[in-house]
Amino acid sequence: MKQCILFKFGLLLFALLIPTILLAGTPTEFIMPWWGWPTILFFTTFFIGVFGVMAGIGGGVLFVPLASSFFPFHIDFVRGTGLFIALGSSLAAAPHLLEKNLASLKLAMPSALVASTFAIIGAFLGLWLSALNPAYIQGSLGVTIIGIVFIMLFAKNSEHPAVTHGNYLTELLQINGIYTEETTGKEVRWTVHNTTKGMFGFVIVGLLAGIFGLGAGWANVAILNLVMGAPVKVAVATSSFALSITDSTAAWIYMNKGAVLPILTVPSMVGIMLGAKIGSKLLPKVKPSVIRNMVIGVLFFAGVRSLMKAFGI
Amino acid sequence: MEQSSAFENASEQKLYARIVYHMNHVGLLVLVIGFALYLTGALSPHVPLEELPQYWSLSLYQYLEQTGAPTGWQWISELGYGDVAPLLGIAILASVTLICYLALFFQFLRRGAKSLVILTAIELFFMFLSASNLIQISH
Repeated sequence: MKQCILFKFGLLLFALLIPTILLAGTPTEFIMPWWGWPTILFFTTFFIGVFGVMAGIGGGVLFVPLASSFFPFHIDFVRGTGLFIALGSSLAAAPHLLEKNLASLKLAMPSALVASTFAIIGAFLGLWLSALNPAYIQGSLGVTIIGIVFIMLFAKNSEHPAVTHGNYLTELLQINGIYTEETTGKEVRWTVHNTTKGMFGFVIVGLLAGIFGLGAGWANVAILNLVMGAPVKVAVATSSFALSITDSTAAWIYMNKGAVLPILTVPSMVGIMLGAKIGSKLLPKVKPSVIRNMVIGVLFFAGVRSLMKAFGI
Repeated sequence: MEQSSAFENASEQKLYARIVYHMNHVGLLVLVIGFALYLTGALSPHVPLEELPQYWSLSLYQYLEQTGAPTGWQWISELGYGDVAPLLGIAILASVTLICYLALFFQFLRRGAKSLVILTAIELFFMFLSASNLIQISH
């Protein structure tokens, strides 16, 4: 039964990509009415929302390579939309995660400060590179996405990393917290270590978010959990929440520069939010690891296509 | 290991969650209304919907040059255009974190949490800086 559901989901995802793959690079403005691509974009983001939640990754990381490789929209507008997709998803999830104490404000604040500052630099760097030659951005996006695929394949989370004591920064900012583990009903107390090393990681996260319009949840979780030692549930929830802080600075830059086209951004935001709601309801019925591997496959494919597009292939 | 009493969540988390919840709903509502006015033609756009496919594959600079679309805060004075109206909802959503941080700043100030006041102030500075459109790059 489960295999049948997965097979249908897989088929749907690839069926969804077929028209975009076939029409990629063709003068589609002459064969499709103006509402054609935005409608396909809406359904694509809907499925990104469904599969993103089930695979445990943010929508932005799937959206930007897919939309910039298989849709006729310029990568400048795709990146602007990518940031608002990540921002919208994060804002929708934040209240619940904060109320449940799974996301930590004290953990998110320093990491998001570093990431959001570097996201400003990344946004300007991305717009500057794109003005020089969009292929620079398209190519480096392809390389980054393929790199993300390998990180997602090989990085293993640690449920409750051993953290014996924090450091000066941890003490100063009192980065610790408590949450109730719902499966056991027990209170889990946590703190973090390697805060300075973690902050260097968020420099990269911020730069990538600004340059490519990616959500970067894939990197946040690895840094918070594997480097800083936050429990995996806290790392996932705090990453989800912190994206709304990280991406807001870069989102303003893209909006001020005119890189936010409502005809792309609104259907994408609505599509991904609806998809994420459905995805969270389907989550208990599917095996996340299978979905995750399938999504990683699509991501790899989009990364390769992005690289090919950069070289004019 | 630290004292167990040292492990606590920021008391401001609940306030932050409430602001996000309400502002997110307001932003989405305004966004959908603005987009409906755009799609139904109730507000005429800078670029007619039928002509959009000629422009969305252009680079940002070519697009701005050819359409005269607003940049910076010009959009406020052009909210009567269909393709600008949805930007109000988008701007509200982009401002949610800024409003939350303003609330946090005063809360931390009230309880004398110096390090958190400084952290919040720096973040607010960068948020205002990016929203202000004061940073420019030449190309």
